[in-house]
Amino acid sequence: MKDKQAQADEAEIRGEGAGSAPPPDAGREAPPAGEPAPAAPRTAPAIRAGGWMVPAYAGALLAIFLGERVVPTIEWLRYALSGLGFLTLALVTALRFATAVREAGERRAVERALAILSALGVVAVAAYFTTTDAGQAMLGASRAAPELRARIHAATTVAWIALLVMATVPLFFGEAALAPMRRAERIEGRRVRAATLSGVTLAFAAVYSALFVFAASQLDLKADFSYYRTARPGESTKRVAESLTAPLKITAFFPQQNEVGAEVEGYLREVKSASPQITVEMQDRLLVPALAKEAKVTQDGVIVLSRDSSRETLTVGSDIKSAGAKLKSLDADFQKVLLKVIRPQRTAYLTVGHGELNESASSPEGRTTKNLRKLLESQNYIVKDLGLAQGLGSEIPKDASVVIVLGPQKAFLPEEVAALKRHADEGGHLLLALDPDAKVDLDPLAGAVGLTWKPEVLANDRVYVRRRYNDSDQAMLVTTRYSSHASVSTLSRHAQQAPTIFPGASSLDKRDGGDQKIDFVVRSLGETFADANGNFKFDADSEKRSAYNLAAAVSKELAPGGDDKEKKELRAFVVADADVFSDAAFRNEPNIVLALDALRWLGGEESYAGEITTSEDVRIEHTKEKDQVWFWATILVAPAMVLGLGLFITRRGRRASGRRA
Amino acid sequence: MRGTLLVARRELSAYLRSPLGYVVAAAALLIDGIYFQVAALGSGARLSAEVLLKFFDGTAFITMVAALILSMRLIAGERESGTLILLKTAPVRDGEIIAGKFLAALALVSLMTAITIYMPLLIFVNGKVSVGHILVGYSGVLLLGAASLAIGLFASTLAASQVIAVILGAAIIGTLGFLFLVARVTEPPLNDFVSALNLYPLNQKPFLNGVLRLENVLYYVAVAYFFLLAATHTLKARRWR
Repeated sequence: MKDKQAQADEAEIRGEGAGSAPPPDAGREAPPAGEPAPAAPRTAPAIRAGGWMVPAYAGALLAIFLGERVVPTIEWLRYALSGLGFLTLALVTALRFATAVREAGERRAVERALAILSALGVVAVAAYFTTTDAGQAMLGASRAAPELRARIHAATTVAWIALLVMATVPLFFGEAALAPMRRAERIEGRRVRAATLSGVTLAFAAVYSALFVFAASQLDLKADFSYYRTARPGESTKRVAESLTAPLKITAFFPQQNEVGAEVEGYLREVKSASPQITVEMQDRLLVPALAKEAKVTQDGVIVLSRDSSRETLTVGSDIKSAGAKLKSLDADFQKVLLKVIRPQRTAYLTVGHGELNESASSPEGRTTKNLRKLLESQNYIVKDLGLAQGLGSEIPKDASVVIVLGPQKAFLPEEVAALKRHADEGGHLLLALDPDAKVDLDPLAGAVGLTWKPEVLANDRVYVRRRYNDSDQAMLVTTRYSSHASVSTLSRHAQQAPTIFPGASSLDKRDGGDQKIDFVVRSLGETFADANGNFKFDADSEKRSAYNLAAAVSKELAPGGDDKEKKELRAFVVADADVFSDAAFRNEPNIVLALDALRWLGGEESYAGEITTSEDVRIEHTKEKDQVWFWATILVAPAMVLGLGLFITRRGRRASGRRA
Repeated sequence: MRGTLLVARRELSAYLRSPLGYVVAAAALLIDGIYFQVAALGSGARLSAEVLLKFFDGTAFITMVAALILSMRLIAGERESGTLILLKTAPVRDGEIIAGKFLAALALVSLMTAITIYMPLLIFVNGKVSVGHILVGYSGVLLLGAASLAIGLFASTLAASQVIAVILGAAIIGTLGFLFLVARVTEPPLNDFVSALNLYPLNQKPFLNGVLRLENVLYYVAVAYFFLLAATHTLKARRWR
């Protein structure tokens, strides 16, 4: 039994199948000892299998690549190269099969495996041709629905690439192992098998890795940890959206698969979720030319908001590099156009002629109000100047939605105060920012809305902002004490995280006999004192620690709103420190929120109160002294420490090994 | 696994006892420091995010080069000094040798990268960045370092000398790195395929911007895995060559 098995094994090695006729050159591999060589020598085929087949195979693939990718527009060349390539592949594969049939034993097994791999390559190339226009037409895929067609195309593309990799890599590996043995009498099949198996493993690893990465890219799972990123809809924008009572259509024109478009789409999706009145469409301008023409859009990266007959556009851009900055302020910009489209524009008058903050274009201390002006514009206000020439001394213009007085350095004329008072009494809205730095009497202004103004500068020797690192900093008040009034609703919700800064503030109080409703909306911290002698020190005998009123919201209903009647109400927001609205103070975000909420309340839009999302980045300013410290620390100290540590450890190691020796 | 840890421990102690690891780490820190001062911080007032992005950009490139230098000796060095035969005859599998050497080099690269942390922390002094952004940036740099190490290790198994190994490794990394330029001049869908293969900067950019994408993480893991597998099979190839 054992002998029979051994004989069978031997026969298998020689390539003789049980019961089958020996192949024509069966004796070539291992002629039995003692037997004479075959009488008639085997006739050599016209083309012999050999090492040349791998370069031919690679060359054929290259020809197909050149034909299909490099010269696809020159038809004759394309067909010539691709045809030649495919023919060569087919011939090489046929020759491999022919060789496999002709050979015996180990050689046959190896050649057969290589032939199968080669055939797999041909199948891969054939699969590639099904992705071409002609192939799609032949299969009928070109008549399928676009989505199905895209799926078929994607599937066949993945299939032919995967097949080609799985065919060629093991083939080349196997051939590399076989090459030195081609002319040998016998070959070591195990070597070739090991090499081919290595190739198969690597090919599968490559294909599976690529598929995993592709699948992950389709899932698009991501977490954004950047500080400086695309803004998301803020609380305020969502509230504006919620307040919509009529449909609003938002159309964003971006090319397909555009990075900026994807960011904008994410933002708009969140806005849409705030109101059922909103519809959002992402459109490629070139695919819908009629729609783009109707919306007057001539470039990519434009968001169009339309409601009834009104239409507003916001240009973001479609190039991520140039649009990056706009994406960061998207929420503020979007809210601006949203307000424009849902309500008519209003006018804010800023008084001039008294050295107001808005009159200075530049100041080293930041006592300018460029940002407040921007804020007004973002809330859909037209900003105009109001001086004697515009009627400040006689009558405030009728179109004034709000009149703003920002830290006048000269006293107002009695006529001007009277005009402002009349305006307020008739249901006008005022924003008065009084400033003790002016050393002028601003009490009449406060009196116009039922308040008294105390010009003593407040100070706090315990909690204050450092600016000059001397006693004067104690006048840089910080407070987190807000009432629940609508004019400070956002700040009161986040009081502890939103400290406002009042640089050099005075205080307010209620005037006797007034009939206005007065709410002191911002108060100083309890340890604050009115620094009457201006020494920034608390003098217990003459000064008193208390919580002072820093801002007040004054209102008085004059005529209740009815069905068709317009509601008339005096509204005034008074702060005892104009610097709170200066550009310097606006570096502190809660100060911006204070101004924004006050403006919304004055405009009767307190329901929109909330934050606008911005992720404004901070510039790193560095002094020369700091630079030197940082420079030497980063350049020399750290590398020297690592090198020193290395020297210490290696020398200690050598000494220890020396001692052991 | 035990073999892997044995090899890793031996390699790591070799790194720590020889001046090479320290010299490479110090040189990388020095170049990183100069780059941080000159290119990232610059002379004017720059935005915090811009400084952080430039810092990570430089660190990623330096880590890639450092990983290549560290990996060149892993197998080629053994071959040059004639100790590879000892390693091959040791009772550890080829895969364990490769994994062990890779882990040791990766530990060193991680250590090198970690000690640059004082630079992004300096941004906190006067700027605004998020800790999450810094961590994501470092994850990207480490993944890139791991992929570069794997490529370098593969090159080291192919080459007879360390010099050839580093040239070969640089050639592979360079090719994978320059694919983003190729992607710019090719048409769809080939450009998508080519850009998906790009080692740096396309796959690295989201990390540098503080965005952690599963796709990019998997890409670096796949590259590292593939080249480690290729290195193992190259080492195995002695049986069929």
